[in-house]
Amino acid sequence: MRTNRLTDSPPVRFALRYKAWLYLLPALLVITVFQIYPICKSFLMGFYTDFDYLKDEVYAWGFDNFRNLMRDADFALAIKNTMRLALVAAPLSIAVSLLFAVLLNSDIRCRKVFQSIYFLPFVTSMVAVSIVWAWMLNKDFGLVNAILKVFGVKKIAWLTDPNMTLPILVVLCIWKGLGYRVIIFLAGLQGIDPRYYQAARLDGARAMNRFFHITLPQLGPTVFFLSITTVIDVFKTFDEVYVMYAKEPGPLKSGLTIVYYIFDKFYHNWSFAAAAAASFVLFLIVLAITLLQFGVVRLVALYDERRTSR
Amino acid sequence: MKRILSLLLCAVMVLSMAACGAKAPAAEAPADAPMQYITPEDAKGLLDDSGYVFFDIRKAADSGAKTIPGAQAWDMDKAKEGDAEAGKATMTEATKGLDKKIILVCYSGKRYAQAATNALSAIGYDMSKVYTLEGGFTAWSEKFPDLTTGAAPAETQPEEVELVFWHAMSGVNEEAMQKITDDFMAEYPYIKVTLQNQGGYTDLFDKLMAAAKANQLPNLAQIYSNRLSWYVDKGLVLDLVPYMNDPEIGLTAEDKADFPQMFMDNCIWGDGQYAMPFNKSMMVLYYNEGMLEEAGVAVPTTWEEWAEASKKLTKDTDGDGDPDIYGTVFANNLSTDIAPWVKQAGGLCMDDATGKPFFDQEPMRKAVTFLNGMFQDNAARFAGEDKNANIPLQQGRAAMCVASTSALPYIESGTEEGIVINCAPLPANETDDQLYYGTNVTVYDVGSDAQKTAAWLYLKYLTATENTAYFAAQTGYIPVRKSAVSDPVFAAVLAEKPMKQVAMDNLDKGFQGERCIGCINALNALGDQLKLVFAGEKDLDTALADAQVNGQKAVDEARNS
Amino acid sequence: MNQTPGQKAAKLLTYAILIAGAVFILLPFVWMILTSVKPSKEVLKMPPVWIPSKIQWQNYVKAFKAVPFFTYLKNSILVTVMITSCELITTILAAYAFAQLEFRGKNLLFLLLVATMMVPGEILTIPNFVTLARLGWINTYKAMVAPWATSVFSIFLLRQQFASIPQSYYKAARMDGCSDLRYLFTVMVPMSRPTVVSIALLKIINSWNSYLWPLISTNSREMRTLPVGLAYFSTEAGTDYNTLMAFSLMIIAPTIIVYLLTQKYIIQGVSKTGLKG
Repeated sequence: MRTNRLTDSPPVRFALRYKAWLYLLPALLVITVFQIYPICKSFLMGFYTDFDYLKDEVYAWGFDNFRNLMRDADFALAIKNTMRLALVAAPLSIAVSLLFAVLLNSDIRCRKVFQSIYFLPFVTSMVAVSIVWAWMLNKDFGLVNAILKVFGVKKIAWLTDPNMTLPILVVLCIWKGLGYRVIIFLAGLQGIDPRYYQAARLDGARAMNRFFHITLPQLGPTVFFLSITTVIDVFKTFDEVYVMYAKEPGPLKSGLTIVYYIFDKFYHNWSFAAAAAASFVLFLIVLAITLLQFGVVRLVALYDERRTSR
Repeated sequence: MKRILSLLLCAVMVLSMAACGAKAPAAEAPADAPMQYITPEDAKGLLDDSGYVFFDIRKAADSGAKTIPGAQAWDMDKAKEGDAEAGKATMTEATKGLDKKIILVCYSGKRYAQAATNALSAIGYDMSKVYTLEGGFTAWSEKFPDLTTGAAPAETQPEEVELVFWHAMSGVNEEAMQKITDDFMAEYPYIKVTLQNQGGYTDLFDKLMAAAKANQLPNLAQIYSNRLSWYVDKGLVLDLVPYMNDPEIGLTAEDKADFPQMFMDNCIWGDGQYAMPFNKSMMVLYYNEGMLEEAGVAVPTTWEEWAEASKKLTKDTDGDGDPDIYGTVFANNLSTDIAPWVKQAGGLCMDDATGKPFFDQEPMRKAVTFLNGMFQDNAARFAGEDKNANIPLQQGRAAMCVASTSALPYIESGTEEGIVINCAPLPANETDDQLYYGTNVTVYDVGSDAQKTAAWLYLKYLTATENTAYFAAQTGYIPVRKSAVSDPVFAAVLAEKPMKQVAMDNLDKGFQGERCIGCINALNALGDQLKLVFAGEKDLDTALADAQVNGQKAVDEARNS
Repeated sequence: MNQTPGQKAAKLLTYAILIAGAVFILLPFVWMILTSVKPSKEVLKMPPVWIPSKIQWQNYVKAFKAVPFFTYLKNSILVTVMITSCELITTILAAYAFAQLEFRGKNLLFLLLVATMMVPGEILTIPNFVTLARLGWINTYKAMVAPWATSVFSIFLLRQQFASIPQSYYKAARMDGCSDLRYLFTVMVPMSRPTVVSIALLKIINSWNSYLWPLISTNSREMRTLPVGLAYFSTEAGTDYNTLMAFSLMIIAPTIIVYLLTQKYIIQGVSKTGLKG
């Protein structure tokens, strides 16, 4: 496998290409069998209109499932709820994590302790954690209302007031992912060449300026990565709702997310084709958002390039 | 029990001594053919030898009860009594086409063996090939107690069978199940039943679905009938009727009638019996005795009384405008649980045969109007974040709640001090129908015939009076047999826990909910609309009309897969 | 070092935020720990009982005895170790191919892989069960490990990291006659240790806590993992909160220990570059 530095010669190029696939083989094998294959199968099922699920026999194909989906008020609600959640939770949780990462990255004591603490939710099973949260948020005997009472705040029906569902899910998203995102940000921060900061300090740049002109641009790829993964994560919100609201999609369906909808259709209603169609739509939405994010990044990079070349 | 057994054993011994040992001069045959003996040790080595065959020539009742593995039963009692012709006939039949060495097994190796030897000699069998087991079966069973079997009909010996049973029981429920299963295996040593917990009910149903798709269904599974209907429709479930009616292993007419009819009906589709009832409970009205007494309210028995009581019992102690103690708390999901009120209003939620919802009809309207009245009075609420309706009751935040009797163990252990909880049947209206629910155990149409038979034997055992009584005594469930009330174990529990009696007393008023394919989805569509009504977000007529449309759609959708 | 009042105030604010965050994060855990030793009667009391009237260790004994703990523990460890090592190998190799090697359709393939992340895992459960049943792997460790033996997410993460390593290293290594594989494992992986440790940790946590798949892919108790035991404490009629919390804490403890152990590397990686704000 040894190659010389004449990497441009055609035979070596061929070897390189062949080699790349060898490197990819183990991962691709697993992904193809356990992800791509079932995804394709499931997407196909979205077009079954009359079939035997067990025997895999299809008697009729069509777009009925998609048509029904578009007419289903619940699905529209699920999309609305999920979009709202993504729009609020993703930027907020990234911003909060970045704040904490930068603070942790400064010269402070007990950094290790803080970092360990922030990471705790992430090493915990979401099921157990959601149970504790639901219980702390209980209107009558929850901890949160008991604490608020000290400050003279009236009882809040956190879990039964539909308007409270979104804030709770946002807080939970921040809470759960804080430690993880902080770690990713720290890894990114560590990648920034300290000479930038030294130079900036020599120029007398203030902390704020240093953050906006060095840290943030340098963290670009990390922010990009986190924004994609967080949005995808938010779009897949399900466990928290399922456990916290006792297997209900929140009060008056205020916590009905797209994945909840799919799960409900598939496992509870056994409407396999409807669930498949819905997951296809979810896929398209997330794909569109990701492409959009990619597009934005390209544009920004282009803009930066022009500015620096000017 | 032990004493009776040992007495019986003694009796058998004495009888066999009398039969084989003692000489009864009157029955002496004139010329006895010579006998050649074989020791039990030698005979044991020939058990698997295809050149030898064992004839158990004792009375049919005895050889049927216990014999040497693989032995053929040929009753020579008549021959021993002097009827030589009968003996010859039996031996002719036994040796038809047989060219093997015969080992005769009687009680002690004397008179029955002599009679058989004479008969064999008389019909011209090669006498060099006939042996008698020394000391007979008595000696054999003393020496090799492991090498005896239970009922072995003639030449077949039951093969070892393994069964897998998927369930969703945990804690005391699972322990009780395991105990019954262990007892079963002790009684049927050739059947091994493995209990496999598959998480909660939803996990179990998910897993069954995956298993059905992959052709990996277990032999037995716990399942609700509204889930089972789909599997029945797909032809994946074993019809138990032939087993139930089998004269040997089936149920007697008396047994069948001992199961409450509604439990049996819940397992029957068309002419087929596709499950047996297992863990059942009843929907009851739990109440806080102290609160009712204090407010001077009697336990409600009609809808009107209930609404009134609920209103009276609701209290806003801190004066913030929101009640802190609610009159009545309902479980979160009124979709499948709405059935009793609709039934009490003289109707049905759905047509279980066609799957047609009756959501926009009068009885439903009456039921919802009644319940909504309590909600709009702010005298009732859903369990909501408490998850189970009994939780606020146990903590003094509710005066009454509607919940299952299966919550009893939790109420016993987790109720705050000073609170006394009791229960009553649901208050009645036009009728006083009462809702019962719970799972059945089904046998999937998988595996060998022997497994299916064994699965039936297990189900029969699981639902036998003694065992269902034991299960009910240990858990919050009720027995699936009427006769269980006179079982001493369960009777003692009933005497101690009167709340359990309520579920037993109302069996004849009981019914179980809808189960047609798509009914879960349709009732959920109804439940969604009801929530909007109770929250004051939607008016009743529009909601029920929408529920009817959505419900019908849900049923149609469910039927195309 | 002398600090200006402004710097002091900033520092104070920093600590205030960090501590507030810590309290926010810790609250549920403190509550869990307290509940796990409460007697049943105090679990659902209102107003909430903070400090149990007596510490009831019995809850832990009960939780421990409710399931065959050591069998579950053994399976949890085995499965987690297998999944994590498989994942590391497959993702490191794949990420290297994406970051360093050229091949036709690279971007398209990468996009395809990223696209799989957008599908909710819930719908893959049953098809994967069917696939594994066809392979005859149900109720084996293989079935518990195979679907999770790689992770697109980790490939994504590692690719970003590998791509940030300057090409000059690669060229230098090449000039020294170093093969790709050796370069990958002697230069790139050590240089990316924080990321590699992070993805390993992520995987450890995920597989350790995973509930539905181990339950679906196995049948017998002998093959079950610890989180499956969680279901034992809740039934449709009620939940034993104190024992549930005790059991949850017993499950969480090992992952916290693993985190605390690996954290060293992450911090080390951060401090090595001498970053001081």
